[in-house]
Amino acid sequence: MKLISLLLFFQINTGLSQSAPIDSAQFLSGACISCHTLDKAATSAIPSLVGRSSESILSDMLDYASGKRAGLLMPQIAKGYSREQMEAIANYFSSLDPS
Amino acid sequence: MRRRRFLKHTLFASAAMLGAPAIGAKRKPHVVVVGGGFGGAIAAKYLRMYSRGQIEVTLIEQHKQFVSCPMSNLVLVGLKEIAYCTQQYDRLADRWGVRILNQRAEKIQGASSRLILADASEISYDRLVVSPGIDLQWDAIEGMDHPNAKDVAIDAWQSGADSVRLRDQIQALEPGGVVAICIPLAPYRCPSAPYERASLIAWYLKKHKPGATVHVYDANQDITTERDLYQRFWQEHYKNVLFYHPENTLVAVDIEQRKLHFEFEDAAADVLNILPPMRAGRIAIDAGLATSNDKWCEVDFLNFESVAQQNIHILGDSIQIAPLMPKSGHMAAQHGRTCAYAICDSLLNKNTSLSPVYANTCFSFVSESHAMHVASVHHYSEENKTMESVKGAGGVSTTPSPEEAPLAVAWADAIWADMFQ
Repeated sequence: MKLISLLLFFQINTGLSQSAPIDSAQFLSGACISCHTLDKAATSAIPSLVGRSSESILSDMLDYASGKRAGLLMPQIAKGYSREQMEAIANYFSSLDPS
Repeated sequence: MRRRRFLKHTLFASAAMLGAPAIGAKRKPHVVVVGGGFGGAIAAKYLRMYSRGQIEVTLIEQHKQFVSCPMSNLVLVGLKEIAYCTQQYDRLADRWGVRILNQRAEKIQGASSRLILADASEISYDRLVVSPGIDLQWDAIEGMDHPNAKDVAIDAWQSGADSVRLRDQIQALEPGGVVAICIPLAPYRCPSAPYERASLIAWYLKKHKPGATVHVYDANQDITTERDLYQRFWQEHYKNVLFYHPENTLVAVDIEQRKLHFEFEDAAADVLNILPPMRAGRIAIDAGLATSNDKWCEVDFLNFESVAQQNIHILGDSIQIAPLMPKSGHMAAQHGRTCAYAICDSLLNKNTSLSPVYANTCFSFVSESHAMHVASVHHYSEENKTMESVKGAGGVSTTPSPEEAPLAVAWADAIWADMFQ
């Protein structure tokens, strides 16, 4: 009975079955995806962060925050995040499947 | 009426059973969301996502399509078609299992946890999320009760679809015609948008309507956001096209003569784009949720629950904002996500601690090719129990530039995808 209802649930909610469980990193990263689309295939002037390595996301954020790297927007945004928050965001996006 | 209500409840019951884990299992909590704008649509989707389908969500939205106000100023001047700003609510149902009722919500009965719809049917909820946008206070302007007022003076501030009607008025202008934009005292929805609109109309008039002008009558003392950027761009590009008149509060309008009466002067125009004073959406006002000056709804910023009523959450432009928090679609989306997370946490007993961080960016076009932004980051302060903007973060563009125009488009594509995909 349980197996049947589970199958039924996943058939009906295919979108839901692909989502990560509720966690604080996913919530924190929600602010990013209003600009950085999750759709890796989309053509966008703002790059998707899905599947990028956590090291490169973290180093970009740190460089934007310190002023080492220039940009139109991200230097202003990155300064609002702690290193711990940046690490959580970087790990979250790198954990997403880019395919 | 009774038959229709019965049918609806039967449909609901079968829909709920489809997703039920097993016969005889405990009923899933039910959250009803009123209003499918940036706040409500995101709340509905993320309630389903964060709960992994363990919360039933019904979205009450009177329109079948979402038409975005952000980016709709481009429609006014023919740079985009309205279809560009339009998204389908069906996608929230198909992809996320949100039940959608295309109806108007009429009244909240907080004491019995019920919502009354326009057809007099009722829906019960465990939690209610109210995201009704703004109510335009037309009664603050004498003469707006004229039977033709809404056809003559088109605000295009609530439904992006009205942008088409306002566009037609602007396109029908004779050379030398006059457009008037009247801005109410802050706070109002989308601080930068009236000035973006003025800039784009000036660009359009300069290109297509020789001798035509746009006059901005602002009830505020000065441009309320990105002042230096707007002033400089207007001076350089729209010197004889755009005229800015600060401290002009509109008190009356003569719809037949198309005359505007301000506190200290009068003016006439061919196109009257009047933005009246604003307050929380009507359903929130009627339910007694507008605890701040009877205009805006105070909430707990950790879960967006009303300070006046338990189990009712309010999002977006209707809330009494935290300091330096704009009334923007981008901000409403972040309210929606926070509220969804907090409701899941509460209804599903997750007991995690929540420390919201918001990043807000409002892009504005100042011409066909140039855009700019204002950005801010906000953290929750345990000490002050509110969202506070992070010192040293955020800011505005150095100057409007062609480099920012594609970023504005990318922002819109991403946030619409976040709402509906």
